[in-house]
Amino acid sequence: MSNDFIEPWQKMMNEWQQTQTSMNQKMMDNMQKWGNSFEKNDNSYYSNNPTLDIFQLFMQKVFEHNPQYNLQSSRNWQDVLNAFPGSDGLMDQMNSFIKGNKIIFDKFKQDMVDTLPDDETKDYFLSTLDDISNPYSWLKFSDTSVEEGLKRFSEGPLFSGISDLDNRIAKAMDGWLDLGEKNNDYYEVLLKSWMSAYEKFITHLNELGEEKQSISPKKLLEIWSVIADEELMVMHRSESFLQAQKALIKANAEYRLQEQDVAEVICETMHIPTRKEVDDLHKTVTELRRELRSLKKLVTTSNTQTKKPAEKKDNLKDNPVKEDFAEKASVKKSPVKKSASKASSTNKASSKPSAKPNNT
Amino acid sequence: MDTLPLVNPYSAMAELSKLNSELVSGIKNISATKDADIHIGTTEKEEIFKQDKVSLYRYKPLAEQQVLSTPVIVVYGLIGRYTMADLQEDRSLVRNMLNAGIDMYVVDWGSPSRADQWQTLDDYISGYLHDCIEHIKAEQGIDQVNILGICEGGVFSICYSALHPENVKNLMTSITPVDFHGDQRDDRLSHGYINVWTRNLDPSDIDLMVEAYGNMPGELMGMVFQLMTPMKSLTKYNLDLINIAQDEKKLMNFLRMEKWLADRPDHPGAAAKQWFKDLYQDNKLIKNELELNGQTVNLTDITMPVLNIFALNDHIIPPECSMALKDYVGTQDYTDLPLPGGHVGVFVSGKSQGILGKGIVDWLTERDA
Repeated sequence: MSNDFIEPWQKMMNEWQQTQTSMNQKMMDNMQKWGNSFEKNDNSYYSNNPTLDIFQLFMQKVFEHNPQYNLQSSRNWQDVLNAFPGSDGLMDQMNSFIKGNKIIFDKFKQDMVDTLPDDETKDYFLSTLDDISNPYSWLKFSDTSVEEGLKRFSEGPLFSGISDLDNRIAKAMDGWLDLGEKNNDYYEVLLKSWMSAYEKFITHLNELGEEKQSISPKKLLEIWSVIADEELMVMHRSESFLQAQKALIKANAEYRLQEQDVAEVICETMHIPTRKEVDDLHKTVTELRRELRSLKKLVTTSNTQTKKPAEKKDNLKDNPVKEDFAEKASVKKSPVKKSASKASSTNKASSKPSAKPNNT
Repeated sequence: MDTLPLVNPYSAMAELSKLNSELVSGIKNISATKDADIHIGTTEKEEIFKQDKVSLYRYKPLAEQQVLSTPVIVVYGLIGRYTMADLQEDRSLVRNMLNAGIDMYVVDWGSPSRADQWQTLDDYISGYLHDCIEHIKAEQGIDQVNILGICEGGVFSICYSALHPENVKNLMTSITPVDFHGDQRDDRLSHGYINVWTRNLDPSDIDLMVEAYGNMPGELMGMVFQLMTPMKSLTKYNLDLINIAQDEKKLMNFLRMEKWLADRPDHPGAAAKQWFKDLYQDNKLIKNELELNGQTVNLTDITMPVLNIFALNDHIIPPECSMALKDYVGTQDYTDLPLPGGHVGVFVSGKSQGILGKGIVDWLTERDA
């Protein structure tokens, strides 16, 4: 028997173990290095304190994943770090890393600006550079001028000199850009909510800090989960989220239809049935099924009028069930015939108004 | 001045070590698992009727003696699968009822594809469900059946009972929305998000989605379910899984539930339009304005005994949406059966196993005269 369902789960958990093993190895290496460093500086006491190294690593991870938080809150974290001996090196390293990067970036910017001929070009270059370094702009699909150009084309008059396919492609492109824009708006609302959750989390931690409480990472995660959960639930019900999501769903459906329009032309060219043709066929089949069902009911009604109703079985309570099941099991299916033959049973439903074949 | 709390390095070490140990146990457990261990809906049954993609099954009896003169037909909705009531051997409503000596049938709507996009609620309720019930009646030579509707299937059962009361001896609904705006009376933040989400859409948005996809994609509904419990959705497959995987029994329960959740069929387009626009948006069921097959569904036509089962902490169908049923049905014999837990928990939690099955059997037995 195949294990298609369970194998991906097994693979995932094994990969976790490999990651965990590798992380543990790195942690051990770091502890060793840290210990060696203290040994060299005659800090033999600290080299025998592995918990300090674990904490250092934890802090490092916090900084790596939360650069913005790091910049805003480094002063506070400095206080926390100062509570542990031997932590100065880490903060110095962090500061020099950030400063180092800034120096390299500024120098690159200046070198480029110096090569440009006039102020206008320089301004354009600098604003482009800002865009490149702005994560929000990474989500954009194109430059505004391209969007406007496509819009003009897709919303313009239908020129006989331009093929139908070109017009459909232009509309689909326009839909794609619109989808990208709505996607950005949606994620903007999401990001704001995550940031707000993060602010509340830090505020709560500060309150705990004021009370001089220490905290375990598990507790930290629990606090974060509760705060983020509530914040996200509130956001999911907010007008801004609901509107952004509605617009995204609509843009997605519209784009899919525009895409389908392009595919229709290609299918027709390639002698392949189009989506619309297949959908129409399904509609016809559904309507025919309804008609068949309606006719079967008419037959049932007609038979009920001519045959005597089937005798109702005596109280089934006294019948051994297992035997009854075995007997019935041999009846087996044959939908059309069955339906007609069951006319002998009482069918009070037939006293209701006859069903319309289609009311969609 | 802001002061952040100290992270205790000793507890960090201890927790990391515990996490590693849990991961190792989890890998050991999951490595020993085979697909055959995660089967759901295993109670033996036989297909006795089939029409298009819809199948009617009859469960093989588990008790020596039948206690009721009327069989029960289980009707699930088009969102999700009927196997929820038979997820695993020791947590199966179907099995509990069979063990109590009840003759059971279940309708399986199959896996609708784009070819089924034109199927309406009328087709499912007045067509397929009606034909399944007529088949049982003919097969057993009886006049009526008991219906147990679950979730959207509860709405199907309500509509059917109102349109064909002569065919229904007792109506049982569970975790079923009746007043689709009832969520507004439940101020719990985590409750009733589908109601809010659907009301926010314009009717034309729903039409557009169905036009674009043919059906309402199962994945879309899955996404809305995830939005209801945002952090749980994020930690489920990492932190929670490591924690669960170390316990063999919990791991199996988790995987069975995952298997059930992952099998989320698309909702046929035309039926989805009615479900979302007529019911979720316009709340036509309690207004007696819903039309199926040219007939108006009038809840006062429900004159047979009614048992309404709902979960007190149901975040998908808030209890207020279900409880409303008693205000609209025409019967004098109405019973509420509130249960602890959430939407799916009613059927799969260990706590509700005894209460739910026994509650239904006792209620039916009292009305089997």
